[in-house]
Amino acid sequence: MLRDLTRGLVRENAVFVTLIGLCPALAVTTHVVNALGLGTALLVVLVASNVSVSLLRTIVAPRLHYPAFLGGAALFVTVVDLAMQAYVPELSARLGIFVPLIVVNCAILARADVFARQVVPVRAMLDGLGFGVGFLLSLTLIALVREILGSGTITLFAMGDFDGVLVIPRMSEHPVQVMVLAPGALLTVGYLCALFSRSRGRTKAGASGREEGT
Amino acid sequence: MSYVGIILTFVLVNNFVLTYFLGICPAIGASRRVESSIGLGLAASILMAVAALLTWALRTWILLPLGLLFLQTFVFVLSILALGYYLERLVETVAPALHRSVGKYLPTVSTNCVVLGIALIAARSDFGPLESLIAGVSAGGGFLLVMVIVSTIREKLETEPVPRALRGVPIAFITTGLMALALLAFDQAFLRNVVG
Repeated sequence: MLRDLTRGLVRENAVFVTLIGLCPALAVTTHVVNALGLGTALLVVLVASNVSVSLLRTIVAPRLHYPAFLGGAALFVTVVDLAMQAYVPELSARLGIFVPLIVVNCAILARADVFARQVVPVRAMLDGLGFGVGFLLSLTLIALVREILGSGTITLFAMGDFDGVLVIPRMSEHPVQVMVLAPGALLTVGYLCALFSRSRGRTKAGASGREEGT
Repeated sequence: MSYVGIILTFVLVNNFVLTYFLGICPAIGASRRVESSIGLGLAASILMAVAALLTWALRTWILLPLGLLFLQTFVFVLSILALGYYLERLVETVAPALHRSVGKYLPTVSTNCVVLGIALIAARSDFGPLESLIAGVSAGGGFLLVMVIVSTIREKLETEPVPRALRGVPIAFITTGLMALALLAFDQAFLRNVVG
């Protein structure tokens, strides 16, 4: 059971290891707040979709699995999208088409296909939770690297007096602007992947217990 | 926007893979062989063109009059899935040779974000039917272009010495990143200079 939860966190991390659901990881990670927003949205949809797939697995005929799973995911995404438009309109506008695009995020279909349709709802839920949180953390990590290097700031939610933007002294005066542009995303993910696979290789060899890629 | 503007936008300036990162999974994950990337790219282009037109029709004639616009994502996803399925059937019966090289990728592509992506972008930009069709074809062309370039580079990379940690996926990302860097030359200013 516990393995269901931890699988997606590190060992099969969607972004760095199994490389699924990459489009949002690259596109929205110019600001930390975008990463948190989209990561949370995906987490909610993934858990809901995994549970519904697991519930539907015996009811729906196998050849109708794909349409049923996609339809379910589309409904959850619509709910999340509308909720975001209502409660966090600014964030929702910045994420644009990437919220509706969660439906076809490979992570959703892959988990439904590989795991959720073979197990009981509780295990499917834990699996969704693990992958969702793993995804959220990876997205945040990429966004942190890109935003700190690319604009010298860390953008979070505005609360009270705090306008939501942490400015890093020095870094913000001469940022490496390419990091917040499209190529910066690809380069960052490339190098983080390399770091991740390197430290994973080391863990496997038993040389050290370090598991995180940072 | 003029038609030339739309073509340039979706092929170069806002290339799907390199600026929106739509379809990055097949570009990075599946593109080791040039032949299969051409097949996949062509299948995507065809599906994107038809899907852009179909979703325009669904949106204008069904969703808008009924006030059901909030169901857009749901309707688009399922109609694209069905479209991929039936187009494959059609290609299989009409042109079996084409099915072996291109058609067999249609169902795979129908669950990819490039197709839903162009449908959503066309809907958000309020494109007309012809504009949607052209945007679909050009975005597909841009996707095909990047698929072919990336897979060619990766074929060459297979014989090159690459540091162990960078081998495979990481180096593919970095290569694509450098390509995207080159394509930054085609920006909004370029678009304005060309189409005014």
